[in-house]
Amino acid sequence: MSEPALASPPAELPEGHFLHCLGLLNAEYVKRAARFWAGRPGAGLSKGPAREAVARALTDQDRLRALQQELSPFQQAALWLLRLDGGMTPAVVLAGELLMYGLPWSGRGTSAYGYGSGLYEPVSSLATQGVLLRVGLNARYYSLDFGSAYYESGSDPRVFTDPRVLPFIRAVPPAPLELSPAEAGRHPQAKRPAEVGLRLVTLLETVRKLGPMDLTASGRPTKPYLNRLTRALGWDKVLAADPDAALPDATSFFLGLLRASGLVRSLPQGRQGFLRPEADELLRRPHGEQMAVWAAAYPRLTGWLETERPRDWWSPEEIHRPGRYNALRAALLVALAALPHPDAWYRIEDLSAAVFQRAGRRLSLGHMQPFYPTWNASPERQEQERAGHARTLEQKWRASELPWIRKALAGPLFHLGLIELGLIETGVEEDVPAREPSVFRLTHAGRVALYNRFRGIAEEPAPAEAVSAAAGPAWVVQANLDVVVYLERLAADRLSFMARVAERQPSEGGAALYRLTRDSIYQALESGVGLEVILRGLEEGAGQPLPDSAARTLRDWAARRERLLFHRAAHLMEYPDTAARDAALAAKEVYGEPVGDRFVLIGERRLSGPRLASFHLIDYREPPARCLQVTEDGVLTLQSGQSDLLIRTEVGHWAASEDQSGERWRITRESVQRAVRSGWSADEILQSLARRVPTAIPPLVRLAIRQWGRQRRGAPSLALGEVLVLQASDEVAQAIGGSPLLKPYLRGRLGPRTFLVDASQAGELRALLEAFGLEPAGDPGEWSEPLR
Amino acid sequence: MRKTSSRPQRDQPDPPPILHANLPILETADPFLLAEIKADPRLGPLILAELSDRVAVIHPGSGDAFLRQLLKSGHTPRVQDT
Repeated sequence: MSEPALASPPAELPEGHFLHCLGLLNAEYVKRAARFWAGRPGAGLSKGPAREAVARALTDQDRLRALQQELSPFQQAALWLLRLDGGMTPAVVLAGELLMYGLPWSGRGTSAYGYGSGLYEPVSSLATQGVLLRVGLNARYYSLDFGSAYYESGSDPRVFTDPRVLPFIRAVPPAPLELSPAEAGRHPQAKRPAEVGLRLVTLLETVRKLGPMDLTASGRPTKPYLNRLTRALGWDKVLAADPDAALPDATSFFLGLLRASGLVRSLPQGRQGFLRPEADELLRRPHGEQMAVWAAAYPRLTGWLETERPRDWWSPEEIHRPGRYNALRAALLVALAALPHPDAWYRIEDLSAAVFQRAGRRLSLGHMQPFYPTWNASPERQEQERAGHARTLEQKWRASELPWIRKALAGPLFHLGLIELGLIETGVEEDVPAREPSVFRLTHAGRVALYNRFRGIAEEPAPAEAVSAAAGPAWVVQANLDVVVYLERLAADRLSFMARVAERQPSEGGAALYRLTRDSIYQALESGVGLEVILRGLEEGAGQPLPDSAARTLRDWAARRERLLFHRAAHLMEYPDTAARDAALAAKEVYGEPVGDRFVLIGERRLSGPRLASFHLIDYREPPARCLQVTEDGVLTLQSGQSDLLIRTEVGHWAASEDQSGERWRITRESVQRAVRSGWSADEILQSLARRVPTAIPPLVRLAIRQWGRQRRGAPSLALGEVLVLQASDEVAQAIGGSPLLKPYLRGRLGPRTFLVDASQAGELRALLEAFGLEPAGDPGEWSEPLR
Repeated sequence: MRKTSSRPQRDQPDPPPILHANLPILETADPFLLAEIKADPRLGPLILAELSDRVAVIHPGSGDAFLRQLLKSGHTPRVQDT
């Protein structure tokens, strides 16, 4: 390992962020930082000059080199841990690591009180000295307080130091634990590197094949995406049911690990995540180095727990924030790196006790009761009480943290191939011997990823990897396009290649079965792997040429793909006629492929020339142009120069063309009914029209479209009936209008002396009027004549 | 679906060219393949216009649906983001 493996790509902090954050602190902090970074010349300065002294020290290589000699082992270790993490890490992870490192620190820092203050004490002491600072991006309130108001303040949970000092920092191993080796485990179990590699490669390739990762507003994968990934991977049930080393909710675990490794990027405010190119580079590294990246991601993992969710959490969101579990994971990894002999077996209970000895008084998964001696108690009494408190903490640890450590070893660390487990039989359940992990030791990958990593030791090739090249072909490609893959002979990048070009088939044992399918080859080609690369990669892995029929089939599939080209978002220049289009191409105003009579399909927006400054842009990602004028008689006219390619087809669905130029239509009963017969509704026609007109649709047109578009006749909204007009003198009109007897015969009143009469009742009304001595002039048909 | 054609000459100055941006477009190797796709009842209605006998414009907003249906129908198009 030439350079410590980074869990995540380089930190994305702006240049000078350390000095920026320093400037946000009060003078006392800045003065202490100047003393630390600049040495003696930094002492006794006021805030401004002190900050300048820090800035000078960070650009002075001699000073940074000399600084190494002045660092305490604890400070050296903290900077080394930051260097391992690329210069920036969650404060809670660094706190767990430092507690477990077994090195003394000085000063209490700012968080002397409140929940979790003991956990953050080592980090806080470094922050107070100016060795590291909290990240201050978008900080509403910047402080170095790592206490109880940690999240409420909206502060960034990460700490960092200036990256310029990191190259000067030497490796500092953790102080070895006082542990005695145990007897070798019975029923030893370990995941083979090939098995682990296959799982991780499958994860990466499945994530790649599923396309962009759908994220919530908080930047976490959405549930539908997780469900799709769970179905595609198909691991969860099998891994959760492993009787000796169950891994619950495996998809969330591996996806969380992938995100914690920094191999997924999302754009700012983006709702999609993408695999970084570093994911491919990772697969080309030796297995141990790859595992160092996954192991380093483990303490940063959020959204997944080894055990059930604790009941005392205030909010379900807590699982997504770095917290106590992350600190304990970090402490556990350091504990594994601090084993006295990296090859020896150890009891899990002994390891748990050793972690408690170093970190258990400041780190707990549950609530930790601080020690308060009785008021006015004698020193002897206080000592007794202190010992009693320590015993209580230890009992709680055995009840809570020991089972967690057992699950962490038998779950994530076992399935990542970092730990070999020895099991003991604990009884018989349903005629099956029940077993429990009792002892463990580091695997080769575990030694590289944990023990060597914290010491900055380069990886020695594993015996299996050393012989893999000479052991024979990695796979055999058969004429029927099945590929038998020998996992033990396979490097991760070869496995990644196979996962990309072929589909995994159910298989067991040391060989995996893949199949080259039209879909898998198509997906590989679409992801950017060329046909020749596929053919060469398959031949290199097989150590011989492909069967002729297989190679021919792959070439046919690739050629078939070339017959269709789909542009998701192409740019097309439209000219008034062929001559104008050809002239523009000849003058190199536009580059692209001439299409049809008047169009040019532009390659990557390649436009030039002064004339193009005046082109009219229609962007089809924007709402459609309002380019239609509509009149009350249903005539639609296209406003010239504003039409897009959609308008004629769209209008043609529900209006009849009125001229040859295709710029004038009329909405008619027939055109609307034709549209309705082809599946449009009146509302859809109105919506379509409303999107295209700059003003409101005339009410009569709206009404007509609704009426014409009615598929079933309902209650009529309009009826024509035959009525007669009855006119009378003022006196007669007053009598008729006020008569309840005559009211049923009248259909309305148009004015003071004019009534409407239903023609069918005219005879009856006439008889009644005559009975009252009123004789209307003429027949009912003549009533329209004014009465005198 | 309409077939585009040259406009008649007019006595007015030429209007400026129109840049149609971000349109889904399908190009085929030969006219028969485009005809086959047009005849598919699940794909044909999503074709907005034919620019030539090998190039068609897909209805904006239906690009992804068209591509999904294309794949479902057994075609394996090369896909370009531009």
